[in-house]
Amino acid sequence: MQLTPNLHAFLWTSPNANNCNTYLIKTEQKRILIDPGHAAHFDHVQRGLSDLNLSMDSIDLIVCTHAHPDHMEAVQLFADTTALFTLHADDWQMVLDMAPHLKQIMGTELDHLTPDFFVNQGQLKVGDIDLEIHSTPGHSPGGISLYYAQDKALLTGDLIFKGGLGRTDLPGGKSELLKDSIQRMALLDSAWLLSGHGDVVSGQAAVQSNFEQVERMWFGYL
Amino acid sequence: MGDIKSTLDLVMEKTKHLSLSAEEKVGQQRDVYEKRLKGLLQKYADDLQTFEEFQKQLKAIQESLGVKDLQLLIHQILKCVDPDRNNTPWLDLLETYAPSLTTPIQKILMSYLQRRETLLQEGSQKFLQRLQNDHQIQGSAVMPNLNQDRRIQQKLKLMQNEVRDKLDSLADSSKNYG
Repeated sequence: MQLTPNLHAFLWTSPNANNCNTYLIKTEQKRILIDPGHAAHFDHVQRGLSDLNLSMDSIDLIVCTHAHPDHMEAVQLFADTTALFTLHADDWQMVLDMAPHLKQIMGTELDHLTPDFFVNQGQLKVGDIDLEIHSTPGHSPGGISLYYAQDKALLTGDLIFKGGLGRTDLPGGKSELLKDSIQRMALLDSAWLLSGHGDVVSGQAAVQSNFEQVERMWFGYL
Repeated sequence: MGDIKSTLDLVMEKTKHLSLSAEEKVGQQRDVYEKRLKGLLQKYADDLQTFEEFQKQLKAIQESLGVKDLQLLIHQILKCVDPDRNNTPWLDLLETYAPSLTTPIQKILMSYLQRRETLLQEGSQKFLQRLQNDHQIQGSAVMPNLNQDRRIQQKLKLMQNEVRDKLDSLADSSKNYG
């Protein structure tokens, strides 16, 4: 689904299996894929890329908003491509801490998941794509949100959804941090709220209203 | 965790007085002492014991086994020294049991940390430059993952081995203790 000339969403809509929404920022010079999702379900992204006359080899950089498997597992499918991979170092540490269990339960080896570099709060420039990286822990210790100022698009991972917010009961999750992160992201001038799951929220008024509603309805339960 | 004895260890311990020569008995006592020393140092490393408790237990072990090999103790402590970690607990022990070694060890560790810092800084700069030149990726958000840089990791490994060799030399030179 094309959101803007440079921004595409591959939304996961199946009620039968868990997976995340994947996003693509595509410009003249570069292609960044955000949250490729589960490996077993990556074909829906491949179809989306194909519709844009792209393939996995077209991707320059993969950014994961956090290191949960439903967002990150498909990174390993890019092992034989030239795509680089990045996420926040704190979430990579979380993966390292869980590595023996990942191998035992999921058969996952870390070699093809290891990030080429890390991102922290600050500016990330990839060719002609300028992104703001915001550190937004709470759902995971190293969760990040990406702000694409050109389209006023905020990609939040599992920090906040349309009408909801991320869970904090997984390893490294912290309610107070989640609330703080959501309140900081609410201050950005966003016309698109692109979450890890569920619907896209479009329009500045709708995005702002969503932030207010989530805070009003859910913060008291954290 | 304290030393866990195998069945063979227990049998050997119970029957050791039956057929061993005096020399063998001494050697065996040293082996037992070494094992119990390792267990004691592990407890200390795991913060399960204070410094005073360590001293007390060490004395008790030495008295019960009739072994007071200070060089063995120093060897074992030096084996615990890791240039990439906090070594204050080990330096505290050495200050008590081999005070003349603490300054040379601190110099070795300081030199390693300075060299490591320089290596990592230079490595980071080169990494960021490569990222910019080869992939047009840059910005204040970018942090190198130097664990992926084989050259850096190899150099670090060499430096760590050098530290280990220097510490082993110091340990060998401590035979004048005890």
